[in-house]
Amino acid sequence: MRPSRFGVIVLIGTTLGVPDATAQEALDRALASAEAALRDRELQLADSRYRALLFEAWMTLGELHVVAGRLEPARDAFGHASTSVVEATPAFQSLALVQLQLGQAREAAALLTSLAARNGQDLQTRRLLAQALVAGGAPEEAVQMLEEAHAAAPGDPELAFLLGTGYLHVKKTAAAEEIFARVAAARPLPQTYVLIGRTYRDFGLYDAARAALETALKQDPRTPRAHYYLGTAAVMEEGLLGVDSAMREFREELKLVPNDPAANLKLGMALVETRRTAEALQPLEIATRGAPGSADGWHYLGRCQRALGRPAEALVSLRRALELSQGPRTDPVRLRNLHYQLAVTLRATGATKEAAVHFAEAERASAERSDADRESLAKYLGDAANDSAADEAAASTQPLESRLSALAPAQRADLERRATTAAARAYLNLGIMHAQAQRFARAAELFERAADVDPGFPTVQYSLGVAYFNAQQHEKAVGPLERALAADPANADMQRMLALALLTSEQYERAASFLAADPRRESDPSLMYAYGVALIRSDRAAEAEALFERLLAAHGATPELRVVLGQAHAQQGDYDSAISELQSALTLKPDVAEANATLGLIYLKQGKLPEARTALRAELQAHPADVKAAHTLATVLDLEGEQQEAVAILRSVLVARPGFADARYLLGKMLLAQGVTDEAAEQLEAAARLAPEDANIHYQLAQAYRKQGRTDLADQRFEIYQQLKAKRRTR
Amino acid sequence: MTAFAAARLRRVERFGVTLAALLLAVTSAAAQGPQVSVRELLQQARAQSSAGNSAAALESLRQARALAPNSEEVLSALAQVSLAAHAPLPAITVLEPLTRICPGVAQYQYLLGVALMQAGDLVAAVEALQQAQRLEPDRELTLVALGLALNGRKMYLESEAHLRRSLELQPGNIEAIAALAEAEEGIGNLEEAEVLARRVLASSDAHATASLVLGLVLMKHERYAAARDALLKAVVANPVSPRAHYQLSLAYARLGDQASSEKHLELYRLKLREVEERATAVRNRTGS
Repeated sequence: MRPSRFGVIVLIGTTLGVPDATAQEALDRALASAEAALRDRELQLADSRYRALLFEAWMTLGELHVVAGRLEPARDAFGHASTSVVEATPAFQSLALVQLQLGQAREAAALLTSLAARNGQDLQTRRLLAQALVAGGAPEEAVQMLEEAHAAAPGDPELAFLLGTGYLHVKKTAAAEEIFARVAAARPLPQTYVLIGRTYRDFGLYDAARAALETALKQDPRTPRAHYYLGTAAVMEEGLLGVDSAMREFREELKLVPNDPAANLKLGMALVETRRTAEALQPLEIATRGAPGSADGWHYLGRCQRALGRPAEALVSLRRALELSQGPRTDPVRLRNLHYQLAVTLRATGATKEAAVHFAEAERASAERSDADRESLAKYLGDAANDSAADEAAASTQPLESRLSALAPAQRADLERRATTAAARAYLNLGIMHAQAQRFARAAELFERAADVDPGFPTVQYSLGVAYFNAQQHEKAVGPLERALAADPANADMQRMLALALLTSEQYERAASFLAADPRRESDPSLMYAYGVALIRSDRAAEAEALFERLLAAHGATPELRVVLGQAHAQQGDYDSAISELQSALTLKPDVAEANATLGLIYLKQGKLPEARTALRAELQAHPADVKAAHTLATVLDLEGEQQEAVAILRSVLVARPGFADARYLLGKMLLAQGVTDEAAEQLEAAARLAPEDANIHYQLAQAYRKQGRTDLADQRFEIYQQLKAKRRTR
Repeated sequence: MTAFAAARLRRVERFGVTLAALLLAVTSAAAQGPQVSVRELLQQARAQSSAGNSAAALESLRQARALAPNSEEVLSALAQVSLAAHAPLPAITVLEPLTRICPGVAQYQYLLGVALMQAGDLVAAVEALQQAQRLEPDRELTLVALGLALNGRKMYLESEAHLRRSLELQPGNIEAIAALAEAEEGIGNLEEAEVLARRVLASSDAHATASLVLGLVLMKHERYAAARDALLKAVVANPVSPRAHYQLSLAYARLGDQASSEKHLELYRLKLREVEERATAVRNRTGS
């Protein structure tokens, strides 16, 4: 574990759901529990548990990114985790830690301030907040916050320790010493002295640091980290002169924990710096295995490999180091050194062109900063910085640690695959639950997330296409359906849906080509109809005509088809044929949709108001949500003098569909006739906004304004009315 | 595409639903179901709420939440029942994470805005309602709530724009007209404010906001007795409004009734303190 300068044990994801379980077990358990709820049709429980699974998956992915040194993806992953569940404190904390690493101290402080305000008892959050405030250049604010917390809980040693660290930040050393003494008295353990020693070391108080660390070793010679910090303190204080002493301490540390990545790294670095590269190789290999996100580890391993005459391996290590060194907090000295090492190694392998690029980069970095290497060495080997706020932030560039760093690379890759799959599966199933509840837009959002996580996840593109299709977002459906079809070209259902999406997106030629190949087209009047429309719109009217004839010949007895044909006849003004088709449809299926509505419209046009009213009422009885039929009925009732019922119908139509311009117009017109002028004007204004090209609306609105005495407005509307009329005549 | 053709095509599209349903293939290992059904607890809560038993409904929902802490449906129901029971703080506690885990749902931002408004945190309420408005523009309920919240912050010009838009979408909405009357009064359009307030009072005699606006306008016209009557109606309709008590105190003072004036001044202070306490409680709860 790497302690930060503010006493925070920077272990990402420590508060994951089940601390004693492996990440894999936690994922498996969350998945099994969610899917059990789904099987039991306990959809709310399944929803909750899939979200918990998402949390586990994103936390795991965030940790894996941290281990690999991929901080921006880590930040995104913890961000996703924080929006997955209600109680997401660990995700927020991890997010803040990564933000600190990325140099986004203010963002981290804002996030943690809000989190701390919600839960004043949460010490971990307060610790992180203190760290963020210091990194953001506000150590006094951090100390004030800690003083308040300490006053509220004076017996809390962790808080007291934090406050002591805060005092060191604002150079109140005596106050810090006093409070550390109280902490040590409350918890007289060797680990407490290690913590105190390390903190003194961080602030350059090396005598005090050594005294505390030696006290720890006196209490227990096997205390972890004491030798390590003594070693780093030696280098920090004396630079290269302290390297031998530091190496002795690191070796002592490794006797206690042989595979400790940090101690191996420091030892390896020191050995490289003292040109004992053969000895350095093994500790550096252990370090990079244990902490693959450490740029220092790869950098020194690369240098070591180059010195040992293994340029190919050196290039891999140095390139990895360079990759990990990119970012907002890049150290120019390290960057210059890395480019130089890469250039020299490349030149040795004969890659002179590429070498030249790195020489140039090294030169550029040199010009930007010419700090003494000795200072850098002390910093890298010492594992700490000076006490300025800027260095505090810079200190954060060292990799965070995670329990997942103990996994072998192959295990981490496997875990990443599993976590990715778990996240995609959770999003997919959450989306399906929304789709089943007819919330297609919500479903599409979740399927999008699943596709972002894993575009190749089984059925994800198909589900996304279906959801967009059903959400009436046909243009958005086209892309996912095309991708799904590419993976499963023989899927006729998918082809069909894509064809219809293309048709609605006005891509008629492509729609026609898919529908032409659809094996079900000849047996499905809907598809034949759609194909006919696609043919007409792609200028293939002759083929369309032939198709409609075939449609009639092959499916004449289908009630739905008779409705379509009746509507087609009605569009061409052939009302007798239309009525005949529609009545046949109703004989075959009395509640077939739109038959009575179309009849009602025809009768209205023919002036047969009682027949129209009867037909429209029948349609609404079978299909009460048909707002167009309701609007037509209101028109009929208005003509019959039944304004009261008509107005009531129109009001409910407008509740269901506020953007229905014709309904607003009719309501406005009727209210105007009834003398309810103000509301009439409002309704007509709304209608005019919805359908600005409808001349009749402007005419009625002008009448309303005239009745209100607003003659200027009335004149304007009349003018618009005249213009629209003229435009229509020209057409 | 013709209207007929479009209608026909919509019907064809419905087969997509069936396809989506087919995707629900669950393959992993079996596990035990819950001892208590969250679904049944939700149904029970709905029945209890319909029967007017909010306390029992809340209890059922709390049990459901304990079992399914991240369920959108449970959280949403809990928020709505809390709001209906005029318990904005519990509603906010639920809506804050709900808007975080479902950031694209305008309804939850709207409910959060309403809850914050109920609790007196108008700054946060405006933010939530503006977010709801961004997510689903031109939703009448949101526009009216935003107008009310902006009125509360004395941002009358902004409020007027939202309220006028809401009335374009839903002409005749009494709440929107009343809020618009308040905005117009705030802007200084006293005549327009009075017309609108009287329009509301013509159909809803005891409307709190309209009565308050009428009282404010009459005070400015120095018609103190009429103002007092309107303001008395306002405090009866909304006894928790500090503003109505304050104006009533002024009206009584102008009419020479010092005792009543003092009484309402005291009530004003009390109500103001209550509002501030509620807002503080909200901020402590949400960390804002």
